[in-house]
Amino acid sequence: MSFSSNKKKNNSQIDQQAFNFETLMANSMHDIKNSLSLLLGKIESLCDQQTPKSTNSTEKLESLQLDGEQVKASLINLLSLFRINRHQYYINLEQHSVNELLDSIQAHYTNMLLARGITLKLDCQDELYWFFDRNLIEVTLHSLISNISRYAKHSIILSATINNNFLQLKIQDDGRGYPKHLLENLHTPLNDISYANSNTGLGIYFAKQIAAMHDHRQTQGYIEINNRNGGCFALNLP
Amino acid sequence: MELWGLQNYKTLIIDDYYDMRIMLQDMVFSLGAVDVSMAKNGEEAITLMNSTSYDIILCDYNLGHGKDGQQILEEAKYKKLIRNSSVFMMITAENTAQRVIGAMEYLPDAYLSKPFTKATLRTRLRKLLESKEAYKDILKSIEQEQFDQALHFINKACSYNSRHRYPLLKIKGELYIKLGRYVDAEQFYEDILEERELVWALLGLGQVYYYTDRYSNAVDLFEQIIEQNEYFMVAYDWLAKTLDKLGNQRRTKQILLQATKKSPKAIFRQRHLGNVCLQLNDYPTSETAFQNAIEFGRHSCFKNASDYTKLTTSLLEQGKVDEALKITKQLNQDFPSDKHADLIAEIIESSAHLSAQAIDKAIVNIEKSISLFKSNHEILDHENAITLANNCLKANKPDYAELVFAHVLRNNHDDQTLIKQIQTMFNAVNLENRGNSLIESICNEIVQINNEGVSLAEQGKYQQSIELFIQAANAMPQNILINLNAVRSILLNINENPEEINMLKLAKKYLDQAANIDDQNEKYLSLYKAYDSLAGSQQIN
Repeated sequence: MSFSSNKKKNNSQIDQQAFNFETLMANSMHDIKNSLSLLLGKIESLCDQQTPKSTNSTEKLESLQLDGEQVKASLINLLSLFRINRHQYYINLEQHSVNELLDSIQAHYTNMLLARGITLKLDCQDELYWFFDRNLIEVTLHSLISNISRYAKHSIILSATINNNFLQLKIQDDGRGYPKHLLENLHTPLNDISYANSNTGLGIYFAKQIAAMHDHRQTQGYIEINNRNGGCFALNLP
Repeated sequence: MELWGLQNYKTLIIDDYYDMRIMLQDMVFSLGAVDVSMAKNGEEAITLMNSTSYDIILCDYNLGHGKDGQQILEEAKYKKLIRNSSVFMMITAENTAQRVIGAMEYLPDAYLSKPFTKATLRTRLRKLLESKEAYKDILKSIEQEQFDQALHFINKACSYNSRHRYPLLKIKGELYIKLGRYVDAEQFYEDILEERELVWALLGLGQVYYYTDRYSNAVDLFEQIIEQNEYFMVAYDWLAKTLDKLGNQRRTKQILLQATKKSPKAIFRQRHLGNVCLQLNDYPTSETAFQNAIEFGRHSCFKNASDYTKLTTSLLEQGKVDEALKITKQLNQDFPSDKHADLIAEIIESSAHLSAQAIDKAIVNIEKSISLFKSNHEILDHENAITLANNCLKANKPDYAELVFAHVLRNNHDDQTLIKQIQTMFNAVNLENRGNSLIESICNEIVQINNEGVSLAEQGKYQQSIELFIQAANAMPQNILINLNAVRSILLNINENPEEINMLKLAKKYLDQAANIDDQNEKYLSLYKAYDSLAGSQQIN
């Protein structure tokens, strides 16, 4: 990067810069995501190559994978919100197998979580089908699970039921629960991000948006959070 | 030790990055795959698919220069290099991928976004392969175009698995429309929409309105879809198509401009925009549209040298003669060793020279064109033929003009728009009478053939009737009526003489030819039904 003298810029150049910054940000996120892709891939193959004797290294690597997943989730949230904000996403509501979705989430995270001493259990009735945008919900669940893994002690339970004509996807962890400020500000828009709180609430904001994008007969999806038995996050889709 | 694995599936990996290919290969190996091929670009992929039928294809959307993943998929499906029972997964860098980049018929089975783990790949693949297996009968019937049979299998499957029937219902709706069963389709989509407002059901209903000539209803519905789903590009295409029928060209142009801005790579859309702009005399916009069609279509199997012709028209109407002459070089580069393209290049040059009043130069190109045309009639398509013939008139070569117009007329003898067009062109050079007598003699020729053929069939002289129509169809393959009459005589023959059932194949040949011309033609649809029931009852595979 060259630091040529660029003190004298006229107004139009600055406007141009501001306008392009969003795109620059999006492109950078892309690049980071791709680098991350290769990195995670290499970690995964290292895990595969580990011998039974070196399970300790495997666990460390898997823990590393989870860190990677968290970064990835943040990036994807940002990218998705960026596109949605620009009306560049067309929501595709189709009937999908909830079991299949939860299975694929479990397949993805089981080993990584186990490396941190956390078990991931599923609780879903057989043959459960619902209408949703599979891509968006999958991304949301990834984001939630990777975030919640920071707070869970030993167990995360991912469940799905039908409740009052809503599909309720619940993630129950046994950690110390969601911080007060998140619970209180659940229904207010996202602003004034305080860096004092380590949890900026981006993941929750994202989930809120995605839920709301799912509507059926004038009813929108919504989220619920409470701290019963640890932390409980529910995503309700009509 | 896994019991399920990819041992029995032939896999193809397509990615331009070596690292990525190796990573994918490792993944599928570890999932049990044994037969794995790799390609680094579209050309290699198509070559491989030409000789092998793959069960699983993992293809990156972004492949650098040359074809992208979507173009590979389109070509593979169009040329039937891939079965509909195979799994095609498009790997994208986007998590919030703008879906429906391509046309509805050419969608991948799944999108997989980077980065993904082996576990994810495994789960998705397994699920897809299982459902392909479960829908085996349905898919095969569709591939063999036995749509009634496919419907039968779908209804059966829905009754077994009534809770997960929506993906099947989507196909069911499409089949109703393919079969022309619009009343059933309408009821069907309305029932679905009562349960859930699914976009594909709205689209299907809109299509039903379109096919039953309820154009303003269709417009309303498509507009509603677009309002709620700004990036559902297929809806724009249907809206534009419907507005065409209503003759509302300004609005069509508006919609297509919106759509191409959002998704410029769809070359059919760019062409449609270009054509509408030509009709509206908006040559700068048509110029851009055809340039885009050429640019984005460069590596597509749907590229068409006629885009150059229309680009030329747009340029010449703006007086850009030099630019028009320059594009033939690009044309020859894009279509090497292609007689059709060579002919078009000559026609383009003749048009440019005529535009600049260089008649002698134009005549050189015209002579070359006629000579190419004489060597093979097939290489001259309808629109370029009209341009060539018109150029012949303008260059004072009416004999050549008649030669070419005769060819076009034989293939479209009852097309009133064409006839008017030809009359106008002859009038413009004060040869009104010559034009009219040409039209009259060709039309009479065709009408006579049809009458004779039909009469022979009515007299029960099926063989003769069939021979007559087949001979005519070979001489003028674009004449839908002749093709359909050939089919009709064959089917009548089979009805009377069931032992001639092996002629069904022949009937299918001319049915397909007719379908290529206009697959929504009423006579075609009813003859198709007749063929289908004969074929079904004989269990032809």
